[in-house]
Amino acid sequence: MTPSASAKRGLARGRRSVFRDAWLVAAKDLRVEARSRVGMNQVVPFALLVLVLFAFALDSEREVLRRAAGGLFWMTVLFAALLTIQRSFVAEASDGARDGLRLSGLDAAGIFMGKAAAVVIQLMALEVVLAAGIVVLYDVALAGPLLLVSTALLATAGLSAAGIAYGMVAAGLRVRDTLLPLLVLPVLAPVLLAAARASDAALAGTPAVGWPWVRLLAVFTTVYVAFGVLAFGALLEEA
Amino acid sequence: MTHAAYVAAGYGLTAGAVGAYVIWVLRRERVLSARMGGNAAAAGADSVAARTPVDSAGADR
Amino acid sequence: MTRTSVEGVERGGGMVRVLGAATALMMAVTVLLALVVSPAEINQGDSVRLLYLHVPTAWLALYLSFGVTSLASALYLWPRTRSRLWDMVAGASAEIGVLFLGLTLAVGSIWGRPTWGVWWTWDPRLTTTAVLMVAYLGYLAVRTVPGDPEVTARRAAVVALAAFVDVPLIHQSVEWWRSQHQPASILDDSRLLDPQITGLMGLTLLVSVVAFTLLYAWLMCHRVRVANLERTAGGEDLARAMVERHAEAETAGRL
Repeated sequence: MTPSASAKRGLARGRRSVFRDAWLVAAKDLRVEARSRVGMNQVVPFALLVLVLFAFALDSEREVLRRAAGGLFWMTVLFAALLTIQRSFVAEASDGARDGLRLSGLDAAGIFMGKAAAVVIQLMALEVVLAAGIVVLYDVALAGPLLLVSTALLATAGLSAAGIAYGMVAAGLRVRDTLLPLLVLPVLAPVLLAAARASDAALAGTPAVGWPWVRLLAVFTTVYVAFGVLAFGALLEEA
Repeated sequence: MTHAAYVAAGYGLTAGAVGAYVIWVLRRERVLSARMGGNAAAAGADSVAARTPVDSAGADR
Repeated sequence: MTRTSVEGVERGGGMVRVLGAATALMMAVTVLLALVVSPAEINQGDSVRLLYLHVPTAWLALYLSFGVTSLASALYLWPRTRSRLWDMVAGASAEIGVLFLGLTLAVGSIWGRPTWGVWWTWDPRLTTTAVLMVAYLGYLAVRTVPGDPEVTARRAAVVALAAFVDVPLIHQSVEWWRSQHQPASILDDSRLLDPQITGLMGLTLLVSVVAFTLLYAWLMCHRVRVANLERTAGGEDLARAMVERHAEAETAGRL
């Protein structure tokens, strides 16, 4: 249905229905993930592997790794996010479930928020593991917890929102795996920049420097969530 | 490299790139409009451009 | 209304020829001014002549082409103004924009080498431009994906608008990033950033911008015409068959 018809329908049923739809979709995605365990069995080990490989690449001299920890952490999250987002659409593409999703009458904005929320949850779980990873592997002392958590929440939400929106553009296409990273790079670059700088500031014990970056992340996340909510209807439509 | 060499490189590159594009567009225009005007059945090697989306009949509003 | 505006692309051939002639004339004047008549600059010497290419291509790629693509994409998505014409305009403008953006980066780099001593630097403008290039390429990649043209057009339009929204964010973030470092770099030398532009140099710059703008307009006329021809004469039946066969294969073979 057209975005306006879908929106009208959503309004008629009350605003709560959008969030109910989001919840339904998020729960479904997480259930699929829990059953297949790809996140646990593949994405987490891959992310840890990347952390370890960075140590080899950067000569594992403690100073370098510790100073670069913020950036390395978020680079790893980025790689994992790409995998997670691609997986988010695999489940649907495989057995025509995408058409089912469209015809289900679920609000497009709800589907967007649900899928993005599922990705956020998976990524935040991964980030906890990676945080432990950098403490152990890079000899980092976690500091500035408020700044770190704010950064993580906003950056992860922004990554997921943008990733799901672009993932929808590339979904179901055979070139999906090469198209998604290309599309998503210009959008993820500022997130990576801001998240890494904020994290560096927190870890270095100078959080004052990091908060402006969090503001930028907030703007970014707001823009992309809004954009996804508005555009997902148009993306979901087939002619 | 002297400055003149840099200038030459820049102008050469620009002229080459723009020129190539202009030639490509004009040639494509000629090929396609010839086919429009004449032989719809003749399918040359470059006849199906996968690049630009083509419309299916009736879908145009 | 939409059918007429698409067919209107076919008319006006005489106007386009006049435009082409004007473009050629202005280009000739530009080259004459840029390479022969205008003086070298005090600090940069002859390499300043590259700016008469770099500035207009930058204006073209960053503002004109991108602006047109974004506007046309919005017009395409807005139900009241939806027309395949806007999709063709958006695509053509992006293609021309990518060409000129590439040239902007290349000529800028060639200019930068004798001027700053480096081929590249991560200052906000350059970084944003590089990221924008990737965004453009992503947009064009989305357009080439086979399938229903209406669906492709819609997706591409969304991607274009997403990029439009993203650019100020990129620029702002890189600005902040660079401002945190003590700017001890050569870019601080304002003599190099703002060359002493004498009257004749200013005129040359103006002429070059006009010439390239005319070039853009002329190229757009022809490129949109090509897009229209591809739409009507190109491979309608084949494209439709491809979409159908692909759909068959998907349901049968679980692509």
